[in-house]
Amino acid sequence: MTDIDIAVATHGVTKIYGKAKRVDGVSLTVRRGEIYGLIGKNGAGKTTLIRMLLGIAAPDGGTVEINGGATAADLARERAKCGALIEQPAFYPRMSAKGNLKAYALATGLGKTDADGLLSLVGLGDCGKKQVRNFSLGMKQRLAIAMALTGDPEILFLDEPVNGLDPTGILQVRELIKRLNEEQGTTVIISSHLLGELGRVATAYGVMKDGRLIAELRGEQLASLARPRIKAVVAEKDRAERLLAGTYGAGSYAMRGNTAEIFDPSADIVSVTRLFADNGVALMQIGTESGDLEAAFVDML
Amino acid sequence: MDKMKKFYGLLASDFMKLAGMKSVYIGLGIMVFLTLIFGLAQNAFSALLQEMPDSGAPVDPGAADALTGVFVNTMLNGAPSATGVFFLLPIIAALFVGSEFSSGMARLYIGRGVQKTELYTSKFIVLSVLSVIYVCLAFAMCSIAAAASDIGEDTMRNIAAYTPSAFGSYVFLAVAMSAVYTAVCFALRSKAASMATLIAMLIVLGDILVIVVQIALGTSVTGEENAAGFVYMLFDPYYCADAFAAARDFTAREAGIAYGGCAMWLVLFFTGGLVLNAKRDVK
Repeated sequence: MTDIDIAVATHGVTKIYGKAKRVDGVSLTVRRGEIYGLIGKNGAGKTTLIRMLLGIAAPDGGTVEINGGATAADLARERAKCGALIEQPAFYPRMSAKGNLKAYALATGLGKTDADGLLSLVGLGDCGKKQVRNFSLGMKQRLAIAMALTGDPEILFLDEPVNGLDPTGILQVRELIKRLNEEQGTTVIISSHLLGELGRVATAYGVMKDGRLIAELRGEQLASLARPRIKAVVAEKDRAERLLAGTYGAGSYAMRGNTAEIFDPSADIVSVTRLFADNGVALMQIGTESGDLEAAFVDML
Repeated sequence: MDKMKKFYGLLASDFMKLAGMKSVYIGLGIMVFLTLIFGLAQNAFSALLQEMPDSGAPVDPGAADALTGVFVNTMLNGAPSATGVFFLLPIIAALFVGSEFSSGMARLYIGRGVQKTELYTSKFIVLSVLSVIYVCLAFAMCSIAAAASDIGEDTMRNIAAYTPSAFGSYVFLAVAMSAVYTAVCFALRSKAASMATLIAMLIVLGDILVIVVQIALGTSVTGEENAAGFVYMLFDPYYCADAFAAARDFTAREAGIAYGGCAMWLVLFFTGGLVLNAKRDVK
């Protein structure tokens, strides 16, 4: 992978508030065109990390890189190509939705913007001159998404984008993210604690726990997490592993401690039980798992 | 070039937001109201002097003219003070800058590559322009009210001779005060806290400190000995808001302290606020 393929990267980024390390030496890589889901419990450091990526908070250690630029000037230039929805929706409450979009576009140097088109895109086409302070929570969230989309950003940072949205709104946002990614190649970094929602759009994941990035999953790793499997707890780990290596191909099984995970589609509970029994490997427990990504993430967190 | 274009966009957006703020127009309304009150009071005072019998005879027309002249002079040459400009501006500044942070728009702008220093400079420029406009309007309103007064031509000519220097001084003071407002509002990042702090500064530095120093120096500021010490009060820009009405009579020393002091505060507050703001995270 060349630098040109990397949209966003951090190298050992750390943020300390008081005595607590909110983000601790995080090094992540987001490839161009990816939908990167940042997952973690509340307080895991997802928002703080996004704030540092956007320059809202300065890292106490480490560096941030956007589109290959790492100097202050480069980052300012590259951030101009990033749209963002950070924490709560931001807007001028006494302005209309259109007024907000125009003020935002003007202030950020994006020039004239198709405010009507953007508002229609997020389902606010009929809000007219209504002041934003009179909007419902869902409408405010939609406006915040429209603001993030102003100027056709190359990279989109969305921090909890479906907060306050009704089921239709959630569906629309999901489709919008997919469409932007597929049609315009927009790189999306999305943080959410709604793992199910994230699972439907993200193509790569960064898993955060207590300020640290404990795993970065994409491609094969992700597929292996989501594959249905047979889980068997065995007494003799080494013998079981030798047996599995001889029976199934590489990548078709994994050993996690004394637990064997078999992904081979030809395997079933009966055949695996017989395999271990015939070769004298004591089997403590055996069962199937549907390969639910959400459950796998919950285990990690 | 692109950077300049982007900054002009930020400035234009800030002017647009300011133009949409109700408080700007309410402020103008208050200025008009205060000018009217001042004008009516001056007319009533003038009529009273002319009609008031003193030992059976009306007040000497020359003396009445001079007394009314004092009134008109205070109103015209101290127009920003008479119309409450330096009371209204901190309120508008706190609302204007504070809303940027309370609405969350500041972090949105920074996330889109707008530098914190650009955000700060733009707000300072917009507040400076607003302050200068307010000063100009204050002089325009008070000039109309003064023109409506019935004082003698000579007295009016004497008063008007002070106006250009007072006007220029107040314009400079308005820019210096804008640096103070911007720095305080960016340091506190809250509408209520900024407003309370700026009003407290106005009361403490503009009134209480002046009275304390007056008392400390022997109650009078008119005597030559006391005035020699009191001259350093001109370092206080809030005191200058009153003193600049007589800017034409400033000695070289007074002018040096007053204008040098304002320039010093302008630079200190602007750069101090800029550096502090550039280093702090946005919440």
